[in-house]
Amino acid sequence: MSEINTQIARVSSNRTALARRGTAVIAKRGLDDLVSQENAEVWFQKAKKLYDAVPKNLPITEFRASLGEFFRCLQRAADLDPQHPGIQFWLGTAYRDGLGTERDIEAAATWIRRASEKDLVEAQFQFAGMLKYGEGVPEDGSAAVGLFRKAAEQNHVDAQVALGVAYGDGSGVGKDLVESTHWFRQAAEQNSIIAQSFLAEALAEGKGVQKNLGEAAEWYYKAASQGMATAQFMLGKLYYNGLGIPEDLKEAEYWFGEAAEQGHKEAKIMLEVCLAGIDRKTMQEVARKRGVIAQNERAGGPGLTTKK
Amino acid sequence: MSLEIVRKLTPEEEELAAKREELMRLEAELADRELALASLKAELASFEGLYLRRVGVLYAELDEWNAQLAELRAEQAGTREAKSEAAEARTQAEEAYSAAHGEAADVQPFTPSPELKKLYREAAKRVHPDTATDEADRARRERLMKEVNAAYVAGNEDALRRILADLENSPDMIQGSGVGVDLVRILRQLRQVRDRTAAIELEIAKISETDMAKLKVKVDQAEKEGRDLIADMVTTVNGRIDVARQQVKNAEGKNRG
Repeated sequence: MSEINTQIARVSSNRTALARRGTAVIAKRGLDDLVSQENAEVWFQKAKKLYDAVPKNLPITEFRASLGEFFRCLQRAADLDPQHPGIQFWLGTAYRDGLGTERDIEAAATWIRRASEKDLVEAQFQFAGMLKYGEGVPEDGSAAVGLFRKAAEQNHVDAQVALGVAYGDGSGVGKDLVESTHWFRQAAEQNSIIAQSFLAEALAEGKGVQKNLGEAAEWYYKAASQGMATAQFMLGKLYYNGLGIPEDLKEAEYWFGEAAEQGHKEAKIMLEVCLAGIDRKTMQEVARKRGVIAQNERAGGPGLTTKK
Repeated sequence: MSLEIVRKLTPEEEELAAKREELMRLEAELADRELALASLKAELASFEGLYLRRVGVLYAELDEWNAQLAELRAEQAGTREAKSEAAEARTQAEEAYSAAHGEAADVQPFTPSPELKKLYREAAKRVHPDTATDEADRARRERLMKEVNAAYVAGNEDALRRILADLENSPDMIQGSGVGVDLVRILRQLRQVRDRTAAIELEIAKISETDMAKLKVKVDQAEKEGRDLIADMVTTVNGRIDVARQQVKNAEGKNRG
């Protein structure tokens, strides 16, 4: 009886000893991990500082060449803490853009993917782009859309635009104008100029949303006043024709002028029209007359051009 | 005015009164340090429980995969070196498993109330084994002190009150057998209290030097800065588990092929 008790006591004390040793080992590993993560953070911060210190207006080859130390610090950081999403993303970006190292698109894809799996939103957006265009990974449109959506749902504005575009032309996902317009609106509300212009277009044409020229004009105005030539031209057209907003030749002239200054061809023509004082009514009259003349011509009557 | 008060104290009596006062002060201080030590141990045990439950189990899982991987490699290579590596990995996995799933992992959060602390301090002051007068008394006090510590860790206020009540009625709390004897006893008690206080400081320093305590300091510091280090560690180890699991799969494929 007492022998059994002794045996039980021995087994249980062996187990306790095993657990004590295990606990000590586990504590040491956790602490070592934390210390090396702290050190990794130090190298990471140093790398970022070095990156910030390099003037961004250097010629590109010189810019890349002056990032050698930056890249070495980043590598040290990744060695110490290979799970750190920020370090993973920066390292991937360095490989992709050849910052202080040879460009290596496969290595770039590997590191940026790791960061994107850790829910780093910017990495999700970037890796989605790599999937879409097959950079360093096999092209995969539907996986790209999946990641664009993940980032878009976390309010990444460029991902929202990309998702709107994907739904708009059905690339990697079934074409769906309602979804497309929904995502353009999300991005437009975050002040993305391109999304504001896309949304205005959808509203003007009733694509995936109830046609609403007044609201279209508002979004065109937002993009136009931030300097987007297409939006300036479209806003000019709405003023010229009095669509969604009261007809206003002076306003039309102003916006056509802004777009023309940026080299917008149709805007240049319309600017001439406005400067000549030809408003919508006059223009319509001309067009109507032209129509009549053309009809007459076809009927063999007097036309604008002299017959041979 | 009674005669008692105007009576001049003998030098021995004066000395005794002064030493009594000093002893009371040091005993109160000692009780504070005793409380600090008991709290440190209890907090550390509860941190250890939390750490083992959340991170320890993951290390145990990681070690299990690593042991399997080492065993598969040993099977394939067949060298003595590979076999001893596999055995080592297996031992580590067993250690980690028994730690993560043992009693220490069951310790729950420790949140002492101010009342509990007050009762503990009071009990520690009264019981103190180092203020014992003889060996039998010392053994009794040591046993009581263990009860006091256990009651504190368990958060059991009633048990502490009961111990205090028992001490009130215990006969050997009564003192007084002549000024000379009292003085000698008090001087001995003073030395014992000082020794015990120093021993506590040493023990606190030793505990603070352990990896678990250092880990706790880091986790607490991060928490003040609004970061959850335990959650970060979970992510880190989970990442390694994914890698190890994949390596085991690959090795299995190789062994079969």
